[in-house]
Amino acid sequence: MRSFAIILAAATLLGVNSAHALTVSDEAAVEPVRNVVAGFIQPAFERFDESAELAGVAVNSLCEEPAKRTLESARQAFRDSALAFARIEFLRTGPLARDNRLERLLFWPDRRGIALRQVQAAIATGDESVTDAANLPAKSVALQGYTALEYLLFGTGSDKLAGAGSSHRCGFAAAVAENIHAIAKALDAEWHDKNGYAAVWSAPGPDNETFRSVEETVGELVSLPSEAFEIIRDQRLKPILPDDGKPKPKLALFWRSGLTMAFTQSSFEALRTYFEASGLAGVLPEDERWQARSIEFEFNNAGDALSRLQMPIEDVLANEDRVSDLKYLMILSQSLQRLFGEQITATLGLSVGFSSLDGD
Amino acid sequence: MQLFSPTGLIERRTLLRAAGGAFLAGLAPRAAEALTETDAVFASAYFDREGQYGVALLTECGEIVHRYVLPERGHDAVFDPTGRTLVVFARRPGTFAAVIDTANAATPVVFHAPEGRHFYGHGRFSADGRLLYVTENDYDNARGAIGIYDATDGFRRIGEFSSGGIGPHDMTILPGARTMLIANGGLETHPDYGRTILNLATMKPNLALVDLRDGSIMATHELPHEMHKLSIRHLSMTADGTVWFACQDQGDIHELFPLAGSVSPQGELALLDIPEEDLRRLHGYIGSVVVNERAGSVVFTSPQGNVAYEIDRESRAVRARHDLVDVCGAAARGDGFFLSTGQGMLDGRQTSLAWDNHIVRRPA
Repeated sequence: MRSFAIILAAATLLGVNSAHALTVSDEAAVEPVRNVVAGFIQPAFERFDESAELAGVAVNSLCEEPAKRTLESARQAFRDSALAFARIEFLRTGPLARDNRLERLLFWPDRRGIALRQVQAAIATGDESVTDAANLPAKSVALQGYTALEYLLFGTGSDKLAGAGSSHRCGFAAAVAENIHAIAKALDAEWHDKNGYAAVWSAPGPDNETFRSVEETVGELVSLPSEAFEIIRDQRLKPILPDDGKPKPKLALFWRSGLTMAFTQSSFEALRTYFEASGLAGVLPEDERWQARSIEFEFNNAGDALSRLQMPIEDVLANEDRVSDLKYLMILSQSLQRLFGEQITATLGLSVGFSSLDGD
Repeated sequence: MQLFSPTGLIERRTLLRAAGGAFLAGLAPRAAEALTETDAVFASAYFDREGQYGVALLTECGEIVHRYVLPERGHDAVFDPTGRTLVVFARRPGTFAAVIDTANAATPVVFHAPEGRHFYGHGRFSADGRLLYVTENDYDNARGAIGIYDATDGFRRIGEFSSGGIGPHDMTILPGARTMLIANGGLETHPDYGRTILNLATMKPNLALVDLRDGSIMATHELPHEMHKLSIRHLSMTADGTVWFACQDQGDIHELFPLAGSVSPQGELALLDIPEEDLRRLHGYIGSVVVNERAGSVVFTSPQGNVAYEIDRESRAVRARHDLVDVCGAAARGDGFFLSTGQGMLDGRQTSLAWDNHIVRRPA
């Protein structure tokens, strides 16, 4: 964080940044928001909704007809749904930021293993209330989303779902899958609402209660990827490769389902699509286009590293070369965070102050 | 206790060199005179062009009396009751506190949070100046603590008590010197996860009243449940013991919850009814709150909203609004406020330093 602050403060002290001094016209600045909503966000939420629905169907089929085949279908549907979620989880603004939806979908990080304890307790006690999706929104967020569903489908005892006698666990999984779908459906609907958040975001003005200025609208556009890369680094990569050098595969998101690296790959791909669909590169002044090229370059590097990392996280951490790839990915996420959060932000003339950064 | 210089004791001239040539070059004759003749009135952490963090002593008019280099970014600072010793705290999740003897401009010395802890950036001296209380994160156990350091013995850590919540940030000692009010921001964080908030869905900030004689929690004040994502961070107290508090909204900032309020000496919590338009301008974030006893007002600054609001303490209405980019630091001065910004503005003048979130006033 220190070097981040240095660059910004140096920029601000040198007068590079000043509030309300966008370097492009208002219309040109808002266009990337419209582009990204139509070209990436709305389709991504559609896909998320669809895959969440399919996961619900697959888990219900498993409950109705427990067998190896239906269990494998349910597990595959979970994977598809989680990877679709990976494409939208960084859009932490508007619909996803409301009503604890993000936390309900993904209770993570869970440093103290709360989800595991609560899910295991519900299974051990045969708590019937968790088998009805209608009850879940009122329960702990740790029981409502992907981390709970992953344990139910992949955790200890999950193989028994293929046989008789696991109806409670299966009913619980079906309720969670239905809950996820309900949230996904609401998110999709809200992003497609003509008078909803998409319209509010892309039409700033004095009468707009959420985005009063073009600066606020564009600021949101560039802050989302910046925060996303910080989250990938701090939540997804750093905990499994701590400073003490002892790898911790069980601190990885979705290690049980073997999805850790696929999830991260999906996140990077989504962020790249977000950037490309926005057309943000075209808004930058000619002599600053190198920033867009740098972003593409770093995305390519990340793509290469991630393609080598597509294996269970335990295998990644047991292989020196792959650990190097993982460390490189951390550097790349830092680099991309800076490109969005500092370089492009400054180029567009957005005010990012020393005091307003990183709230405290 | 150890010097932050890895080479051990360093002489003042070395320290000045470390502060960068800009420091010496920037000392105009008048400032040099101020260095020896004018008492410092304010202190604030900063960040300079060379990428160096520090803390500066300032005159009533905002002239820089002296600058001290810090090992990392500072946050708030506190003077002891005599006004001679200044302690600057690392910004979270930093682990150092720098002790400065302002009487002889000696090299700052630092002490650190114990293993498994980091500081949150705020602290307070006991009324007699013998003890220093510091907000700490016991991060492996996800609990807030107040570390007790002996100011008469090299700031040796001699004990601690629970802050009564998670994520203690600012604190204040109430009149009578026996009780402390602590702003527990409610955010669980752990260095393993950077700045990630680990308990966003369940966070429960509070104001905890602690008996300083035994560290027991006497009372806790919580906001209504729908406001549980309002992280209570900063406090400022009036002479009668009313404590004004300011929050940072960790939820959807467009929901527009009140971001400030007060707790009376009788323990009654009252939220500040800020007009919707003004609330919107704060962007869910108040970075600093400061009472002006003489003016009967309190100021709330929002670097995110580029605005400072001066509120009349009696009527609780907005008295004045100051539009200032990246404003956060504030201190009472006369009938008004001395303000600073992260973009270098200090009391209306552009300086070459980026000022951090808080300004502390030296006891008279």
